Amino acid sequence: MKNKSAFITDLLLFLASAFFCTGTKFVFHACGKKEDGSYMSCHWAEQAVFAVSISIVIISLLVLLVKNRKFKAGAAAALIPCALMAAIIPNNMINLCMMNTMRCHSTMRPFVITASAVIIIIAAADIFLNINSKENKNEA
Amino acid sequence: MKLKKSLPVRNLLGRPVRTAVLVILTALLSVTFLCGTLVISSLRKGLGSLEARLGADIMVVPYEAATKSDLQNIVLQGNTGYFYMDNSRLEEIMKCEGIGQLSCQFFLASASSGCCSIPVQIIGFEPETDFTISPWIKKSGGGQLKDMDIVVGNDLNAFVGDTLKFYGLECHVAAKLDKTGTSFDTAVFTNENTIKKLIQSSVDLKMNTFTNIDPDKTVSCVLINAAEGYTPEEIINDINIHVKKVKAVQTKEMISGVSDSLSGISDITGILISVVWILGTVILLLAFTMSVNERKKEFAVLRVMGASRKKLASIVLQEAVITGTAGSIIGIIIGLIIIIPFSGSIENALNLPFLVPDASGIIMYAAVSVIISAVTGAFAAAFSALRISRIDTGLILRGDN
Repeated sequence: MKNKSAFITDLLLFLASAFFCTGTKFVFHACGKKEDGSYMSCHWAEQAVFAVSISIVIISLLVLLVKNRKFKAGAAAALIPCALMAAIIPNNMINLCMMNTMRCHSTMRPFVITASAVIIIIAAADIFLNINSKENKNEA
Repeated sequence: MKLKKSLPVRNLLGRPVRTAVLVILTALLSVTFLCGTLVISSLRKGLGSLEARLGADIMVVPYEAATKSDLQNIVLQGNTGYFYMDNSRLEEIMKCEGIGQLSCQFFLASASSGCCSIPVQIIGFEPETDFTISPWIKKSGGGQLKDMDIVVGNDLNAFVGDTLKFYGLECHVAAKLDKTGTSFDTAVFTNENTIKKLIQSSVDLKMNTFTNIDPDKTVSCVLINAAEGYTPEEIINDINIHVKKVKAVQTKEMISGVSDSLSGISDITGILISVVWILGTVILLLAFTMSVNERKKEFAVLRVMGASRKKLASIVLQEAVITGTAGSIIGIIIGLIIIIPFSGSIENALNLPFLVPDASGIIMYAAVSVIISAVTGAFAAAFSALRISRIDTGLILRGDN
């Protein structure tokens, strides 16, 4: 039962990471170009989040494909600081635009924070289920 | 632990797919109710906030500004803009009867700054006569504004102590206003002296469309409160007849369009909530009926083992309450994740004043949502519980049901 649950959380983790990555870039992206063709600072925040989210997708793919439970738990643990890092990039590490009504504040930042929180919760559940799996208990 | 061993919980855990479907259905009802009610209450709160922020019975603006909807665009739509009239009109307005309070405001829009492509609306007021902005600044913890001090709206990404540059002049952020859910959240407020310097600077830099204005001899808008014994309509008629090139408008009339839109959205949301709720209740009713039909033999065996009719009904009801409560809690979490972080996007999409209720209000709506969803689940199961309490054990066990 726990092994089955761990597979479900592995899969959920990968799906959430993939949604986070594609969502940041294509759906919940920051403000567009200015009239003169230049970008506002929020664009670079989006790029930074996108870069971190690619790492998150690769790690979550490893969690899904690798069979070793201890490796899975370790990789899922690595996702937590990555997701935290992604959550604090917009407006804390890289400034967003001046008005909270602008797209970067009203759409991208809430999405990044919510998706990061979801990834952290699923990763925590995944660590718990993989550590407590039958295989790990048998090894012990 | 005791709960985990109870029969209704074991029944639910034993059939995970059926349980998941019931939980998802109740979560859907809960999300719909919570999101719908929160959106409606946020819109109502936003309208109330807009009425409070306008704070004057009458606004007098240059005639062209009223006809081109410049004033409505600035006040209601949050667009930036500016217009000016000669302050000799002010003396003419003051001669009209029935004026209780009167104060002038000055408008200016900042040029696109380095960080963003969107300009900011700057509103100047006379601290000695002002009765609309000063009380709001005091309520937000701000004091008397010195020259080159500004107060920023809640949605501006600037904080007390920051310096913002407008038309080459550095302004010091002295206070940040509380959230109002209106276009004023993205505006900057300052005193008369500062705005006059900013207007002059914009003219000097040739960035103002009014090329020949003298900031000391112009105002943008005059706010008026009617004196006791006079109605705003009387004063408006008096001003519109006797003062040339200006238009007096009643603030209540100005927000009537917003009020109508809000009423329309409230009605549609209310209808949608009702439709989803009725459909959800019917589906839950069918789900419980089908589930009880499938489990007739299970209940008959329980009856043979000594379970009373009341006990059978209570098992069905307990299952419904557990799935209802779990579903509604999940629904509330999803609903809050949609509404609270994305309130800015919803506000932008609706283009109406939108002020999310405070924590106590949200907790109240969430609690009501849980109770209503759980009660609906129990109500949908009540019919099945009644049927199961009347089963003929002998007939069912013989297979003649």
